[in-house]
Amino acid sequence: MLEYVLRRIVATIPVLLLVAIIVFSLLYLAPGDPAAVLAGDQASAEEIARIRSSLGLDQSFLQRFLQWGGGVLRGDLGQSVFSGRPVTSLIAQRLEPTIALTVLSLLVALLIAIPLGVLAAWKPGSWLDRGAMGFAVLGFSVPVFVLSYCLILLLAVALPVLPVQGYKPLMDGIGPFLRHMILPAFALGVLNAALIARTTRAAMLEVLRQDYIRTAQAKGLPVMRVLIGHALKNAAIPIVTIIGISFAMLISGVVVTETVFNIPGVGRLTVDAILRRDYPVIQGVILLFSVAYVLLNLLIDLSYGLFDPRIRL
Amino acid sequence: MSARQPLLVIDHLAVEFRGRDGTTRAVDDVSLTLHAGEILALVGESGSGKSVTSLAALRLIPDPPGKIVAGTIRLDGIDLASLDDRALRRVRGKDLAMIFQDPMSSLNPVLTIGQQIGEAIRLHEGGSDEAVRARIIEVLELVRIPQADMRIDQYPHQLSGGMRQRVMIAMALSCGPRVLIADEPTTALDVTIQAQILALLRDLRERLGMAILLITHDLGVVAENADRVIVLYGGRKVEEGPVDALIRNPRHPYTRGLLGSMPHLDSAISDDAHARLVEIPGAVPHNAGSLPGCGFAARCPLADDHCRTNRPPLTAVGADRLSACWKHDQLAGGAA
Amino acid sequence: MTAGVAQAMRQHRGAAVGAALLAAMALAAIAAPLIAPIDPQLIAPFDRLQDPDARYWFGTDQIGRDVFSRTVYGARVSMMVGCVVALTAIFSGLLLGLLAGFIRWVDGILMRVMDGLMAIPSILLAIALVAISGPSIRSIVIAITIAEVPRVTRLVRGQVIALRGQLFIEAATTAGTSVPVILYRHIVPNLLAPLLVQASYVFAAAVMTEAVLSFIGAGVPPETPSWGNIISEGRTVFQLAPHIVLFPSLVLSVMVLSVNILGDGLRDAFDPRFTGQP
Repeated sequence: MLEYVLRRIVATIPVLLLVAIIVFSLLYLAPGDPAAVLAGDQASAEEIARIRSSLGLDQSFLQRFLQWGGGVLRGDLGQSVFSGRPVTSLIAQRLEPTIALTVLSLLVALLIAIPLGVLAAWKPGSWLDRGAMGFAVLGFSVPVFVLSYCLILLLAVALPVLPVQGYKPLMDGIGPFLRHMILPAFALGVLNAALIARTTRAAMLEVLRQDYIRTAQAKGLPVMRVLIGHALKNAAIPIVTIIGISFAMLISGVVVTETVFNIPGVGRLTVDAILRRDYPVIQGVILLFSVAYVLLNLLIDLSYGLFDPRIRL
Repeated sequence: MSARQPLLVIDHLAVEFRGRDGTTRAVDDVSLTLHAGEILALVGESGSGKSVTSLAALRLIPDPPGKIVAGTIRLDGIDLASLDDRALRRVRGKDLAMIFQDPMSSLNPVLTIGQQIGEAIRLHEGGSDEAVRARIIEVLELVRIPQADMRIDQYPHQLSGGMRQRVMIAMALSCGPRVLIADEPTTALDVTIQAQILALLRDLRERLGMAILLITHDLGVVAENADRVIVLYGGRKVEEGPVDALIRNPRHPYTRGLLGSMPHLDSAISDDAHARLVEIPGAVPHNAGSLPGCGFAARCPLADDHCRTNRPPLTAVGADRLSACWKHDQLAGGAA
Repeated sequence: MTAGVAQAMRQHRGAAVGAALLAAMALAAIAAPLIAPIDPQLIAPFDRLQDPDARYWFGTDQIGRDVFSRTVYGARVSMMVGCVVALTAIFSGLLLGLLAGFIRWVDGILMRVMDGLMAIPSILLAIALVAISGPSIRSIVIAITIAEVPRVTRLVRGQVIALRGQLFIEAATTAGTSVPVILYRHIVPNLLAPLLVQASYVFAAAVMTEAVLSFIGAGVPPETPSWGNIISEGRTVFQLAPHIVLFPSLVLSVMVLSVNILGDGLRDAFDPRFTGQP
């Protein structure tokens, strides 16, 4: 078990390193001269050169990568070109709404997708199954901002029960926080549910064909006990795997959803940074999201043993 | 036949499966009666309808594509078709338990032995966690699993094939069923383990007074273990009788074929318990049940035009014996 | 191959409908100047934020441009991005996948790079690439292509390795056949069906990604009417004039849906394992 965990952890190191190289290259290749920007309009060529060497911009790619990488490991992601503030603290400030939106929409997705996938697989070909799979294709096809605007129009404009946009931190109380979170979390969750529902159905169909399902029925277990106690646990590995993979889609969705609902999160920070060509911020955000994605998938790999005792060896 | 009250009675059962190319009748007009303490064997090649019959008894035919289209199944006089799902679930695993062919695929790989046996006990009998655990260990010991208190927390993949089948049996026995259906319980196991498992089943029958419906394709297993035999072919019953008489003197050419004993029938098969059955030329026709004549005619050495156009009825051919063959007279008295 | 496509059309009504809708939108995109009643860039200061009517079918935006005409022209951007990305991603993926599948040392390096690229969520990767190369249709196409190539490469490599193991390839190799001939005769024909299916998914993803990038301001230049741009511009006046956002949104969703349904139909037709499933 310990050896398995260690092997998986060691295997993610080269991936993280590659991500770091790619993300660093993006800044390296970025147009414009940060030294010139920092020096201001009136600076002389000597001044710019001095700033450049003080920033280490005259060094080789490798030297600069090592320097940057060392900073990253210490939690230093550089400074915003726009505000001059450390990227790390800019991100830290914006983290709460983004984590809240991610967790809540994942919750919504699971609450929709798992029951839907299980029931669809239980009665393949039924109207429920067809409906669930129709929903899945629709979920792949509707961009998150489209669903968001439809929901806003419906539940905030035509029937004004929820706020159109904005964010209230958890500190202001759970009520206002949730009222502002319902629409974005629902929009993002529903679309994310499509992929998870489709995978749940496929995995359940495979499991429900197995002999041990018949054994469970022969024992006299009720349908729900057979589906959940016996089948779903066996289908868990493909399902948690797709949850990990869908996290990439969720991140893209977060960036868009925060824009639509004007939520001051990391996604909104990214969009502002794009508009301002604030490359260090873009770079920091991409690195953060990518590392989170890789680590989440590592955790999911490590969780397989919880679902299947045969993997614990 | 004795005047004892029969436990399980299947009357004129018919099961159909809908497929891409039309409907197939997997079981056609099969009746059987099982008494307490009796071992009744259902014998036939694959496709003969023996497994479908046993699944139908528990109403476990997957629907769709399968469907019981005719017949009744009565357990202790109660028609199982009349029960709603909830009442039916109370019968399954409690009065009527089943063990399956492949103990590896029939046990859930992600649940421990104890969880799998325990859930049936909890469902049908209830009781505290300690009482359930004690009962699980008791049934594991009943099927002679050593170190039951350790095995209870293991997963199926940690056990050998024979051990897994013992677990299946323990699970089936856990709620004290009166009828045990054993669908090819030893096919997936090697020979010495086979003998042990069958001896265990016989012993449990003696001690618990269970009735056993033993489904097998192996007449050697039948000869050693069953009291009575029903031979199925193409979904129909072709012969029935007490095991000794039927094996000594089969009254249907198919049974003879299964025994592979046309030339020297009298060399009693019990001498060689695992006598290899000689392959009967050809295979069970897909549509045997829908042919106008005898389903076996195409493979039968005795068949004539009459056999091919007229379906032979089940006829009494001696004490407690039935045969569905126009030529059963020719087969009377041993070698033809 | 052609038979498979025909079969998909016959067996899956959805696939046929998807193909028809897609064809209609392609035609509309090509014939945009004929279909659009008004110049998409024409500013009509007195007709700002008009609701949909007989003259402005989809209404007008905040500077009085005709949303219907802009949407029709937007189809050009989406179609172009979808087609070009699908083609370049499939061909680059095919090339890289073949290299990885046949040459060991290339495999090691290439697949690690692909792992690294796949570890970055594709929208973020595209955002970063557009950010460094500047907003233009060309850089959008390149960015989305780079984000989609790893998946295609993996697919091709997996198929090549599986096919290589199969007997008929071994037989062909031992008979002294050269690698290009093996490729041409055995590998590529077997890859056509999965690649066609993949192409439809890449197309859908590209159309979607372009819209998202334009929506968040990292897409095609704002003066180009693309669906993402129209929606993004309508965002600020959404409560006042929801039609600016809703019509292009609807058309965008229908296009992606058509391609996805078409892809699912093709997949079912080519892969017998999926047959019979809705």
